[in-house]
Amino acid sequence: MSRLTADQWETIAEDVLFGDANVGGQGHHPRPDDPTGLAQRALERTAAIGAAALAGDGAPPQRVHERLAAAGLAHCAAIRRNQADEMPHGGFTTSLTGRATSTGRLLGFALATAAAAAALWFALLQPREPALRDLRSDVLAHDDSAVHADWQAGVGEAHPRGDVVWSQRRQDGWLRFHGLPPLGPEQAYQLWIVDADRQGAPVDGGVFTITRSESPDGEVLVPIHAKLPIGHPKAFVVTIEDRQGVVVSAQEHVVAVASL
Amino acid sequence: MSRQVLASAAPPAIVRPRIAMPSLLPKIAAGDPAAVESFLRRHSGMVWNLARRFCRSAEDAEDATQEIFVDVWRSAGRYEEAAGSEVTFLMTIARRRLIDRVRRQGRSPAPELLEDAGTIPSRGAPDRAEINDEVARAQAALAQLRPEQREVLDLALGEGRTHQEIAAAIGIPLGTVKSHARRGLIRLREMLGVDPESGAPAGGTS
Repeated sequence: MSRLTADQWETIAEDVLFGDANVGGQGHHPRPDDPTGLAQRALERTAAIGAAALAGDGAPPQRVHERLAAAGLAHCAAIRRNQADEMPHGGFTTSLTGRATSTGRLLGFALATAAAAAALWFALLQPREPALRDLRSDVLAHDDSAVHADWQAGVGEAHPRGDVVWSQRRQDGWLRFHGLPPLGPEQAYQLWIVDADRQGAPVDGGVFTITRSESPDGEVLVPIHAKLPIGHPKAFVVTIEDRQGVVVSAQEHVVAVASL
Repeated sequence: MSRQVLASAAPPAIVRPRIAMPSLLPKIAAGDPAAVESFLRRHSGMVWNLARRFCRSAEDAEDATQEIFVDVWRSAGRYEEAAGSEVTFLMTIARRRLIDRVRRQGRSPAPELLEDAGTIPSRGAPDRAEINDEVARAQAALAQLRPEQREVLDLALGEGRTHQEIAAAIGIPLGTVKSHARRGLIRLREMLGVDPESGAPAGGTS
């Protein structure tokens, strides 16, 4: 044992097991040469490995594993984005920040933004910037975690054509529109992602505006970069809201729905 | 002939040759998705089962498990192999999160877990052939503790019970609970050879 007395060791042990200012460094932050702090750290690590030994065996349910994996992949995607500095250039780019709010159910009852909302970042595709199209095509062709859904016909007055491609592995994707009209200065489109893992709390996808399309065929391609992990996307829904977006949607203007 | 009674020293540290497993945390900190998948294969069961034992419901355990791993992803860059193993790093975070959650939500009466088919955590030695060597040594060390110390640590470490809850559950005085817990944890440290200077178990890290 170190320079501490047996009583001191026991006091620290009791604190590690039952105290407040011990676990994870809360409260007491020992100096490297502080015997008390060193003893505390040793006992905390003993407690950690003891907990591991007592935890037992058994894999989590598949749903849980997928949720954990999605969070991890989203983390990796965020790191890659920061490293690559992915902001595309050209076109009309609306950068978005999600808000930490909570949401209710979509399509039939009021939406409430989730306490930790996804932040999406949208940009218009430039005909002279084929990278997004190529990347989308590559994901569709080779990414076995990719899902694809067309916008449902007859939803909303705009009747947009197009689709959604989402890569569960990459935790990003693309919205594609033909015929999604520009909005007035006081309005914006808002995206909602219905995630089956969130039990009725859709993820706020942020707002975006389309003022004009640079594409000769009128196509708009909007990349999606979710900052929250999406476990099991079930639907992508676009509504028209106030320009700053809303916390609770009245669902008066649902312009596009793509269900998986 | 006098009988020499050997002084009962602290039991020797349980040190066996370690199977070296390089930590995945540096790769996770660098954003390697494959490292994330491997890390989950290695450890998600352990964290999930501990969360099940701490939490009131399977749903709560699921949220807690998610919180723990998100914390791990964010903290991965701070991992130092010299200071402890990957398992120790992970489970230190797990204990912190679970204890905070239990104290925030309260736990009275004792939690009743919703038993999901196929998700009931086993208590005791796992059956699988492969096991983290450090965890195996800790299990062996726990088995060598005095029964009363093991019982208290099982509730304190394995379920996050307070000393009052343990006293009520076992039916022994509060002071006795504290005594068994303190001495059990200290004995466990000695057997595992966790060095106060470095925090790492004897023989390096797994």
